[in-house]
Amino acid sequence: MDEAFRPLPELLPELLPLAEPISTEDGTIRTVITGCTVQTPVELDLTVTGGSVVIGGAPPIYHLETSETPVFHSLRLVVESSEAAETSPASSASGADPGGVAP
Amino acid sequence: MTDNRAWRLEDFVDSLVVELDKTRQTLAVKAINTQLSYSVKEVSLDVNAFPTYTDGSVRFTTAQPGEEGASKLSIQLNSITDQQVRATTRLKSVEAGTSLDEVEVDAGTRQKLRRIGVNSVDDLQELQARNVDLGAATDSDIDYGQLARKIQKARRGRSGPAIDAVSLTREDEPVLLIEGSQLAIDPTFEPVAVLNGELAEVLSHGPAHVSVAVPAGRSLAAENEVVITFDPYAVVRVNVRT
Repeated sequence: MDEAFRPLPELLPELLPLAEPISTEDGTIRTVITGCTVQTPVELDLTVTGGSVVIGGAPPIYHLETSETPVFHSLRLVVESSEAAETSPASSASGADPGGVAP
Repeated sequence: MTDNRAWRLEDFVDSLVVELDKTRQTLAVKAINTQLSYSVKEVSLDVNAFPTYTDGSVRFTTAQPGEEGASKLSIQLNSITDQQVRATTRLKSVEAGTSLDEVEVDAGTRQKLRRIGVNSVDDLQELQARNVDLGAATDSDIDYGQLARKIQKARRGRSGPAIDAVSLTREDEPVLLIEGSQLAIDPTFEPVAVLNGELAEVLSHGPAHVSVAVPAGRSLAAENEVVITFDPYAVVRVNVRT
């Protein structure tokens, strides 16, 4: 794999804006991220070794306009906290964006 | 990007699934610190690639900078619980474990079978039960009888006979008792025994034993060669010392 790319198990978690819970100063209200949807263009490096494909990926590497632009593929990643999955099963059925915050 | 070789969709999806599993594990580790556990609910990937049809299979080459007219391959992986998997997966019989890869058929035949959705011996047996004409479906001269023999051979190859002990008993007449596992497992086949080059009568047989009568008037020498055909795919030669 080219050194500019990273294996998906390393890349995907880094794309997720999952932060620590935020609490008010007096600690009465706590806000947590219950899920998020990330959609981003990615550059891919697919290496064929024997019968398997090694997938390397990276967000757009250079932000420069060049005469030949890189090929951008598209990646969409949806994660949800187990807490949110238990309390709002309808969100998955309706295809609603699970991103957002809940108290 | 280095060597841009064509890849098979099956291999790509396999790798994607494995990588996604690793991602889940990484997220689980991350969740220990955040007090919440996150699960990957959906991953979709649009890959710009050029499909080509070579050697009877479709392969994809990833689009390179400057290449236009690539196809967009959209792959979406959704999550499912183990209970849902059990509910939507058909039950396989005990003998269904034989993959078509283990059966000694040529690559062309295997490919023709895969094209009509036959990936395992179980799939093949389902077609046979429905009286599907394999030859017509695959436009070839494949027949069930031919395949059945190859399947039996493959299965026998996985569970070959193993002899643990040979003993000689003397009641009315001397009898060689051969004990082990996976011996005479085909109930439709009568095992055949040859003792020192002479046909010997098989008195009883089963998966764990075979009893062979020493031919009348013959006695065992110091070294004896016993050849037993348990079934058409399992022939064993043992030397018995007395």
